[in-house]
Amino acid sequence: MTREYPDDALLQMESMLDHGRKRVVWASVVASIRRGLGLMGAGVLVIGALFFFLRLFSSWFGTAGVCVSTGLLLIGVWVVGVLGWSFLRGRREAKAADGQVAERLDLSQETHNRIATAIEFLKSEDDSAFGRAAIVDGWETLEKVKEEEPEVERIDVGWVGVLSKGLGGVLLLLLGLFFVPKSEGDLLIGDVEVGELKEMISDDSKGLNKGDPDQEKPEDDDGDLEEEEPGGKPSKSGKEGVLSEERESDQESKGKMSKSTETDAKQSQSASKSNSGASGGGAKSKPGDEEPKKSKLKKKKDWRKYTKKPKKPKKPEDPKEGGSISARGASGSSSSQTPQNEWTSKVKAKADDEKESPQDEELDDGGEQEKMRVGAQPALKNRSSKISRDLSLMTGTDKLMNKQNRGRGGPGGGKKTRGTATMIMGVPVPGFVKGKLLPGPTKTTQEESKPKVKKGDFVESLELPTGRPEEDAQKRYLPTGSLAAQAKRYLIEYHSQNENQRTEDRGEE
Amino acid sequence: MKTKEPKTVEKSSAEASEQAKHFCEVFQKLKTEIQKAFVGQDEIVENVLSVLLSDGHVLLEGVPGLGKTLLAATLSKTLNLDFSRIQFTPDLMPADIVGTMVLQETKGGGHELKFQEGPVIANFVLADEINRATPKTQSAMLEAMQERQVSVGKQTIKLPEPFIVIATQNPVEQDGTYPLPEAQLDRFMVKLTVGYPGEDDYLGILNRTTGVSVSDVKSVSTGEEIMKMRQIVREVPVSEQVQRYAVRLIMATQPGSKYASEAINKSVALGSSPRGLQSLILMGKVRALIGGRYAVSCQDLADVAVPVLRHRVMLGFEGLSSRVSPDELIKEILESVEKLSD
Repeated sequence: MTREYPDDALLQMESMLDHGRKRVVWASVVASIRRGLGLMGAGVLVIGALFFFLRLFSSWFGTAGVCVSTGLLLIGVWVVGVLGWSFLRGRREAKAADGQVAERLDLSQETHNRIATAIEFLKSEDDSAFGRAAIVDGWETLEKVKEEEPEVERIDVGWVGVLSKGLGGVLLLLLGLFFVPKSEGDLLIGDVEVGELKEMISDDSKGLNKGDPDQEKPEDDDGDLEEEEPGGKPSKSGKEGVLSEERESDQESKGKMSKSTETDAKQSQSASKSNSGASGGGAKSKPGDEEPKKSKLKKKKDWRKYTKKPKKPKKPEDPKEGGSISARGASGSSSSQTPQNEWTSKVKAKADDEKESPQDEELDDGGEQEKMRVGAQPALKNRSSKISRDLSLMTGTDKLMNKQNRGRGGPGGGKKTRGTATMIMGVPVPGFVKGKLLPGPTKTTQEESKPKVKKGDFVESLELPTGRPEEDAQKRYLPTGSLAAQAKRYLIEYHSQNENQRTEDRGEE
Repeated sequence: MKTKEPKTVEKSSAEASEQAKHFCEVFQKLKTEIQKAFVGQDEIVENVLSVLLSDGHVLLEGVPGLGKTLLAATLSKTLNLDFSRIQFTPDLMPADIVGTMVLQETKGGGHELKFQEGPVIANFVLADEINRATPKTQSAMLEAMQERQVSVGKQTIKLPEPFIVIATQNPVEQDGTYPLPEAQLDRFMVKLTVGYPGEDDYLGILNRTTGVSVSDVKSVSTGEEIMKMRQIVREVPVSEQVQRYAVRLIMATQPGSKYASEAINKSVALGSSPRGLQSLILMGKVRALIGGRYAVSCQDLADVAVPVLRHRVMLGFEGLSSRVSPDELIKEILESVEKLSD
């Protein structure tokens, strides 16, 4: 143990630790990669689940859904982020582990910090006797264990868990992609997706803008515009062709209706003339022009079936509306909105109208037809059930579906839940203080009552016969014989004295 | 790599090595001698000797009949030191411990006040059932234990060296006792819990105590040697890594510190003081020397952490109500605190 160490003992010890250093650094890098993989699996699962449920909810409630590219993008961002984080952390840990090789070797070999202490004392140039002895001790220990494995951080990510999480995430992604019904956000109109439809509409509007301003005629308030190519020919560009085919197929079935519409239109023309005088000669439509316009109206109705344009509340009495409907296709100045905006608003229709049943759709169509024929009509066919005033509390999807504000409290927004203040966190409630009454005055009520004799028939006490001597406990202690006579005498004297005393007292009073 | 010629062997290093060797030998001799009378309980004996060599005091806690008083008495015999035993009772007064001024007649017929030494002025003080005395009397021990002196009137008397107090207390009979205040508890370097002996130890106790022969304990060391050994203990170096570990251990007992676990924050009202840290390191140094090493390791500190810290961890209301043991908390700390440096 008296062996001393060379001057470059520190360098030599550091070089002896090289083997362990490589191990430690590599282990820290591997640990950070494993940690990253663990996070990756969990992240893919979370994103997959999120994607799936968002699609599911959007299909249920008709809200805007998530497209596939968003899901893939999220997963991509997550993977790249985790890889970056793992790299940075691994780098930092490897750097830290580099300085801990001796300590880790001590830990793994249970050498009681001999090596790390020796290196530290060498660095600090500890010159005490015990310090030097500790250096030598550490040197010898390192020579013995330099080939051994140092203590390294082992991260057990659980490959099965990671893989199952990752696969689960991918599975959910696929489920969301192929098995969940498409939401409104991904809805096709005919065979056309919404995005394409928008493009189409913009093309249409461009076409309108390019054409003769006299040909651009506004629709009714709902923005039901008649798009025509300049010259009155329907547009055949792009997907429109597909749509127009559909419309044409509908024309035959709607033939009957067009007749009545024609007559109604004639009736309403008189009103429109008075109200939309500004439209001038353009307001008068030729009978030959009527036919394509009507067929287009029907086609538009089919579009509306899918797009579920939000309906604006309309006053049937409004004379302008009646006029504008009758003067449809003739006046270009009565509409304040551009056709493009109105179409876009159709595409972004909200959930309240989207959730209507197929039966309601039919009703709406009927209403539309009425409008087209004679302007706004009273909603005679509104067969929606009357508003319920059921007092039961609604929860979950019932609550979401409660568009008409049925139930407790009637219409007027969300319903308040009933509860007590203690149900809300943070409301101070006076607690029990040990040894102290709760705050507040203490009221004591005292009743002043005296005992009263109760009148009535009561059972009278009976004169019981004297018990036998052995049974009567009192008699056992009574004096007998001469002692009894003596006691009797004493008591007579005592009572007579007391009697005399009382008599004297009375006399004095 | 070029290796330079080894340095010439210096005396100091060899001397340190010899001193450490001698330390181990004396320690083993003392232990063997004590175990002639006190059967079993190796850990307790080692810890009591470590405290003696680290210049501290011991609080022994255990039910009656486990040999607490025997251990203290045997230790004093092995060292051939002055031994005094004070039985603490509720009516014991401070003057009964430290001594008092008494009026004495001089040769000339006059009178003078003379200090009559109390039992605390000895090398070895056994404070038996210390928690039975009133706080006033208990506090009389404070100065003796920390400053190694007693003050009576205007007179201050230095206590002899080595000085060690071995106090005992019974954890069961708590009626009519005065639990030691934190200030006094902190002055004990360790609190050792004496448990029941093992099966073989019982046989050893029977053989040694119920026969004709009585175990003869000899003196194997002296007070001077103990003082030298205390000096050796102080010379043992501690690396920064180990120091940091000790600091983390102490801070982990303090609720609200960055190393404190959730259990500590919840259950502990008061953690260890810096005096606890000093005790931890000194005990660790003795542990390193008896392990044949020249520097303290983290494991040395971990080995002595429970006896050093258990009476310094004061449980709060929640800890007491949930019957959390300080020993368990300290073991939890030992598992959670990182031994590697940052």
